Amino acid sequence: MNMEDRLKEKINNIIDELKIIVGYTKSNIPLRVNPIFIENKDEIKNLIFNNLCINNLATYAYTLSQEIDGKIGIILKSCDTKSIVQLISEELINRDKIKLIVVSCSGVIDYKKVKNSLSGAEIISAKIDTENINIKTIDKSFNLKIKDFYSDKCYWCDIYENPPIFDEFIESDVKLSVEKKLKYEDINEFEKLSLKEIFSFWQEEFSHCIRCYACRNICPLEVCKDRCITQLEEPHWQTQKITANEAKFFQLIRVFHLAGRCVECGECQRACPINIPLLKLMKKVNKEIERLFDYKPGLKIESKPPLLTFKKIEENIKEDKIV
Amino acid sequence: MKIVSFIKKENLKSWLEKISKVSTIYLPIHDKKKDIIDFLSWTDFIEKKKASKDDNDERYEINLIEKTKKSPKYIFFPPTEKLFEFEYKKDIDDPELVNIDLKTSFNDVINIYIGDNNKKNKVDKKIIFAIRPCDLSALKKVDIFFGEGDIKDPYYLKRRKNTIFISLGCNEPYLNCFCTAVEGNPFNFEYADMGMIKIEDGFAILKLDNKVKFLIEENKELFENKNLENKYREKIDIIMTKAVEKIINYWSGVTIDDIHSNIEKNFNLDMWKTISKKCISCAACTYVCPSCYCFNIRDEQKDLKGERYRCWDYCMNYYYNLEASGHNPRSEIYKRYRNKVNCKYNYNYKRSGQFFCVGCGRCIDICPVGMDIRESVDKICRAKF
Amino acid sequence: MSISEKIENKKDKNIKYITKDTISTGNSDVKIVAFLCNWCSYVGADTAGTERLRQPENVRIIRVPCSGRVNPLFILKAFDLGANGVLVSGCHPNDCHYSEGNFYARRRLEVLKEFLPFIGIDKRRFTYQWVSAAEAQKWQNLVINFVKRIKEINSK
Repeated sequence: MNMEDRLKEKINNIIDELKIIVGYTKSNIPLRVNPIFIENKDEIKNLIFNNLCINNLATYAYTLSQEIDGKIGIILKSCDTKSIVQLISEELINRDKIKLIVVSCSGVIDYKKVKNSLSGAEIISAKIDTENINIKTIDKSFNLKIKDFYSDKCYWCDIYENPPIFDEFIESDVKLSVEKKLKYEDINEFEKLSLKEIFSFWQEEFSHCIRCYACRNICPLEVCKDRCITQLEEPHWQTQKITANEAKFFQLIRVFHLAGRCVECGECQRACPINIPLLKLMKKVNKEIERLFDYKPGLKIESKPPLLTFKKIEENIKEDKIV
Repeated sequence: MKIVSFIKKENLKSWLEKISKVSTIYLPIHDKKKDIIDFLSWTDFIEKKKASKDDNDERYEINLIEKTKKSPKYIFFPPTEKLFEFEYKKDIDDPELVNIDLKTSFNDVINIYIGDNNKKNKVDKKIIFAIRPCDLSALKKVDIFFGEGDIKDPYYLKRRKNTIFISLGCNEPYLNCFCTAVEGNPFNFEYADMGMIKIEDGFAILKLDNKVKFLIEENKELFENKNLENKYREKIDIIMTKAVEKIINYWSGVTIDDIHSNIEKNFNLDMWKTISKKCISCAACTYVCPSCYCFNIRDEQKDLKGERYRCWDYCMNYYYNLEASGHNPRSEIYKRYRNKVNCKYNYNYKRSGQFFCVGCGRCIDICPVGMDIRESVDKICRAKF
Repeated sequence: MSISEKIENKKDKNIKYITKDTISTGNSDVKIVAFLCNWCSYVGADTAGTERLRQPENVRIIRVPCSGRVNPLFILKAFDLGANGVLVSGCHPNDCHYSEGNFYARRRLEVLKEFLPFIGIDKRRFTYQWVSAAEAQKWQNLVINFVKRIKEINSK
């Protein structure tokens, strides 16, 4: 039995004890998948799982646990379980209320990379199997290798076989085979540019931002999206004008709100309609926190967040000698 | 439609350059590095090309094949617009009196420039080139909102007058286009001043209004006028039929005339909750929609000076219906989504006789979780109440 | 020059927002915002004034109850609105009036300091120090050196 069938069988066995299950299903748009909410047995046949399942379904964990009276089941990839660990360790959801069905994925495809490589031609249909993607545009047909289009986060993943938390674990048929890269390699590269270049890079990127808040609303950890300080009049942190400076300041609010909590799932960057590289900002803060306080978010439920504790003598902090 | 004229692809750029000297022209420009296509003015296009010449000469180019990411409504209805400025001043004679000085920003509304950086001249005429029929009919619907009735919006109307629309038909509608399902057509040039269709190695002009004849007559050498019907008529007919066939008719089991009444009847169905469960209530679909018009007015003040401005608002916002008492009638996501669908397919249909959704499909392309408005409307209409 | 002319010249027409130009242009008028904790640093700065210790007048002081009250977003907002440099000062670690506030502040502000170059702001424009109520001299030296440092960065 292949992975998808094993998953459906497992869901069939446990659906009676759960009120609702969140999973993946087919989408009308090629190369995409949609979330689906299953409540009874005859909807299980709509579930799928393949290399296109890039969405992080932990987005719905907080809202469902508030609305629904009963147990919830979520189908997750191993990297997404880190969001759940972080939510539980911050006491935003109850461990007994959710059942985690974790699937060991063999990498996910970034559909924006595929679209870029075809120089923007419209994709009419896409078929996917274990190694290849077969794409048809209006006048041509392409055969692409999956391993060339993995999402960036797959290149440094080391928990796809042992997720930090799970209730049921479904093993994959195909192992993730990708050339490992250093996690913060692109951040180190970016920091080599001059300050002026960095500044104009961000000004240009944010000049297209339309403040749609898709990045904030899709993040699993931003549970405050209905009370966000950026839209309030009292205290007046920001104007509502849609300009580059305001957009940049909003991202900085997000960065410091998620410092030490972001698990780098990449959903914010995927949801952005303008393709702004938001993940870079989050990774930079995480890199500093890892270097200063030796802490990685999302791996252990009992670990205390670094910015809520302190040590009397900090080894890694070097004071600024100015007097 | 009679074929009026024909221009070869090679001559198109020189024609646009000539027009850009007498009026501002907006056209769809593709930024290849970011993979975004949007309407930009000709001067901005030339400036950006110059600025990026060092790293990549090919970064910006005119793209007349693909759909733009955002609609051109921002040219008339900008995301942020200052309405007026105010300043509190103490009266010189009577220290207990405080006056407010108001200064309108109405005259800043027209600030389009032509020519290069050294000599920018303000000009009154605008041309929107290669606007699609769906975007143009959406603009006409936004005109109803801002320009009809007892109270008209002077800022919008000032930007809107003296505009020429050159429309380009869609030879290859996208997967998510559904203009024919909402009473539209990919070659509908009813509201355009000039209508074009791409054929073989150039563009055939199928409609030419009298007031824009000067655009062709002043550049006669770039256009062909002989023997057009024989050469191109058959091919144009084939393209037009194929394009209309390609658009899938999504409505199954309900006719266009019944949509609004069915949606109204099924207002209280529980199905709304299941349909909108995956929505994350961001503003992406609202801000790319060519016919969404909601805005927010804010006063912001620092010390004694301030300004009143308006900015785009989105109905999927939690705060959209928040009342001054603190009560929020649409605090759940499904209520806001239900309002959105009703606004496009029901309330505005009853008021003005036309759907406000034009079937451009941008909301479906851009949604991060795959909400599909066609599917929602279809499911609701077919459900038994 | 008469006094009114001097005041005219000092008006803010030379100030350009740091978000646009001041990273590279030389600027004679330097604006520094300082967040001082109420129990130690503010008293220290006040004592420096009472003792008539000469210091440049570019620093504008905001009093907070503890250095732990300082949200990293305050500093980013100050840069956004046109400050050339930002300074935070509190009680010495282990001597905080509220026992632990400055430990949290130290962690937060260190993360902020390392993050600033990533959005194009020079790291040296921001510093956090520990000035106690008796260290008026230290406050004077801090202000003099910091203003000198900012003027040096601005002139490049």
